Amino acid sequence: MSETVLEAKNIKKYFGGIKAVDGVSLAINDGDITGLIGPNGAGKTTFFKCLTGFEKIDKGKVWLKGKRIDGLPPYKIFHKGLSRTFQITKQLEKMTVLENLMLACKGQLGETVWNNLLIPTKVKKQEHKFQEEAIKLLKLVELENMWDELAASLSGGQKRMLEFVRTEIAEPEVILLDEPSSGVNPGLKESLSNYIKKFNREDNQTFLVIGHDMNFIMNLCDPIYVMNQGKILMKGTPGEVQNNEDVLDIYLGR
Amino acid sequence: MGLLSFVIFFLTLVAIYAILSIGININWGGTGLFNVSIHGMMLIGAYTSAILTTQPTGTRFGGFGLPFIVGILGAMIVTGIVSLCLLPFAYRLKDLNYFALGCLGFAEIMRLIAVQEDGLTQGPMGIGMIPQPLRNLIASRFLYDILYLIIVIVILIIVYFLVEKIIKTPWGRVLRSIREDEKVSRSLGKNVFGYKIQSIVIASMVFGLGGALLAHLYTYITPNNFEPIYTFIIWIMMITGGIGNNLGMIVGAAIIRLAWEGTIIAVDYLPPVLATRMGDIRLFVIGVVLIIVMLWSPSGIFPENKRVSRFLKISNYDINKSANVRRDLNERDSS
Amino acid sequence: MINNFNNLISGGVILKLQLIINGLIYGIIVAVSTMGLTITTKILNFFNFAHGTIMTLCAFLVFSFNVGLNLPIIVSVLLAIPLSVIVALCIDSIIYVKMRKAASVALLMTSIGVTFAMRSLIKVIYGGGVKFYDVRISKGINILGINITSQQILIIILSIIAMYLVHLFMSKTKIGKSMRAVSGNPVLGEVTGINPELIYKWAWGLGTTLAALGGFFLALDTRLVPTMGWNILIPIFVAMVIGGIGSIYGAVIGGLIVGFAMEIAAGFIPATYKLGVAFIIMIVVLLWKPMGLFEEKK
Repeated sequence: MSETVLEAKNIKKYFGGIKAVDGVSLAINDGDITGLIGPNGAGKTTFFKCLTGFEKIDKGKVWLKGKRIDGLPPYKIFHKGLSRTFQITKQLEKMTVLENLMLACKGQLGETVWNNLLIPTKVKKQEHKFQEEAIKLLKLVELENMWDELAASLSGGQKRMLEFVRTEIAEPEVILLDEPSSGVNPGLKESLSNYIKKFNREDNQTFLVIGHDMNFIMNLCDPIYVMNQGKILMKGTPGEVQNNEDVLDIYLGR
Repeated sequence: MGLLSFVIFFLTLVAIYAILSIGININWGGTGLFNVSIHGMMLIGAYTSAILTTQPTGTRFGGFGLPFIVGILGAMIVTGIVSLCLLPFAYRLKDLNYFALGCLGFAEIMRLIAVQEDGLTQGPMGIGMIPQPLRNLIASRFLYDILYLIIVIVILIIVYFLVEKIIKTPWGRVLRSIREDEKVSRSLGKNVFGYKIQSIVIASMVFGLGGALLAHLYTYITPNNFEPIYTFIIWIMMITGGIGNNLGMIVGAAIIRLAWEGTIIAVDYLPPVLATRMGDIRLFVIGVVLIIVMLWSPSGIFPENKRVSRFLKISNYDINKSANVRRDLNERDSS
Repeated sequence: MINNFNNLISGGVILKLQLIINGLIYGIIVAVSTMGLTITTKILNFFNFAHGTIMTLCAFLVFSFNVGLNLPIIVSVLLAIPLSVIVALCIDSIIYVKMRKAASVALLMTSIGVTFAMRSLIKVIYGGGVKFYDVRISKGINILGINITSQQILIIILSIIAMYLVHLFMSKTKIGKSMRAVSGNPVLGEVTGINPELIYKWAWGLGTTLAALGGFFLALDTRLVPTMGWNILIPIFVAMVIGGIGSIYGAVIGGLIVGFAMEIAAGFIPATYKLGVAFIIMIVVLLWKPMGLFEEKK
């Protein structure tokens, strides 16, 4: 029914003798908010890095909208339509919130150096357009008053929001969120969950959320993959996952 | 008359060094590259222009007798192309130090080639009789120096505006993001290496231009005019003036040049034994100035604008925000 | 250039072996100096540009004692080295101590300032001419037409001893082990109860001693000029790149490689380009194995 946007087949990544990712396959469908959970050390982060090009895959293939992306450098993967957040939020601290956001806009004429001399009016118009979009997104997460402030002056929660919105503005095929709820207070967790659902509802934005916070993922994602010791344990709806014996085992250490 | 012509000479040097400092700004204020190959690029620019514009001598290559404009444009083009040799060093992900070493080594090699290859550069003897633009218009030495000063200032203004026009843009914004955090920039889809190349080539062209202008000022150049110390003098100018701010570059150039020339005046007050070692005393002063600046005021005099792109609309929104931010070398850490 | 080549062919094996001896001497000197620089770089977290100038300083101090005060060369050396260490410690106490938290680039720039200040001071005090120590150039050994003076033999032996002693210090003593623990991670050091300032001072001490030795050896084997420290800086940096920045033992091997390559190449190409050889080696290593030929084992 809905097409596969992101697919990974049999991904393997070894560090010396350690099998961090040992044959992981998953498929993400258009319009879904898919979750990937697992205890610490399950290999989620390494798998995440493999998908986004920050680690070289030893074996396996990754497709984005039918095109192979494994082996590509991160910036090319971004251009193909995969946006990601960082677990420790990374803003450009000494730049303004607005420009942090605008960096993520795609197809900026002004980023080619000679365009600024040859077609400045076109560049200006495009900048204004992007600026409007950026401010709109900032309004959504209630940051529009901070548009001209340095990113460094934002609180931790605000930085997360900025990061989140930055993935949005590039209008990607898939957004990968890496532990979006870690170190975040409950009120903010809920806001974040709601924003994700909102973008999913209104723009049909596809998400893959990776984390080990069971509650957060359960309330947000469907379907959910469970990962343990480098392998996929199961895939199912939140209900199925919650009731699965093996999953409870690895989380509660029974 | 003597003092006045000294002032003219001094101002011309300030203008040329200001152009060079603006070039550094593209590398450091832009992408955060610690480019210390400046003296090498200056050398290439100077020699290229000299070879293109001088009259033929039997002993060496060149002497095409081409006009000044061709000389400086040629200098810029050649330097731009040669600067691509620095690319292997910029390729390193972390560690500014690799790039700095590569720059230094490269510049030293250029100097060695200039010393060794007589057929090209007349070796340690250097190239003399470098023609000056529009020299035959004015007979008086003094009045001509003023003309040359005006020419240099005009070029400085052109360079200043051109650089401003390309830095305060989305392109400049990407450069800044590379300087702040390469990884983030990469994850936002920016081809970091490509931008670094552009930054290096453009800055090198500016350095080449500066070198060529020096050649036409001195009318006689040798490899000794392009020792590593000059790279660091320009760096001091940038640190003093204020990182990331082009206007600061000009002021920094003026201040440091003043300190430099100031030692000439001080010579009259020194005992003769020391007076002969004036060149070394100058170096000593520069060294101490650098240490003092790094300890006390590494952010420089002029702050940097926190907003990069000039195309952004400010008027609709709150314009009472202060636009300036202080920066110093301490904020760039090789992580 | 063609002349050199012909000479080499006609000079044959003897000439080649002489180059190897030259390479050995120069390589050992670079190795000793590089070991010193690697220690300070690792532990203090920045490239000390002034390392070469400290080498020059010690060499000139030996000169002052030896030729100026007419002391025997051994006494001169035994006086000059501690004096150089004191100078380095003073510079650290006045300047670098205020910059412990600074970015390595800022420290690099500052050390450049120190380099220029020190170098010009030396030049002002001693003048720019070439100088020599008051030492008998003994004939040394001559095997098959290859010359090696007794000074050179002494340099090799002393260098090896010095490097070995430092190695023992770093691996056996408490301070040495703390230094290795702290290198690159001062916070860790503080948490485990080590006084970082003590470590830093020891790093300066060891690094400067090796530099001082290297400087003296260089002056002994060649001659004394104010720019000698600067000239050897590029081979030292290349040695660090070869060895992998952070690997002390790699740096030693790197030094030998660079020294050998430069001296042997000098038999084939114009002497001016000797430095170019070092540069080319650096490019090759950076492109082929950017982390150096020897990875540092934790």
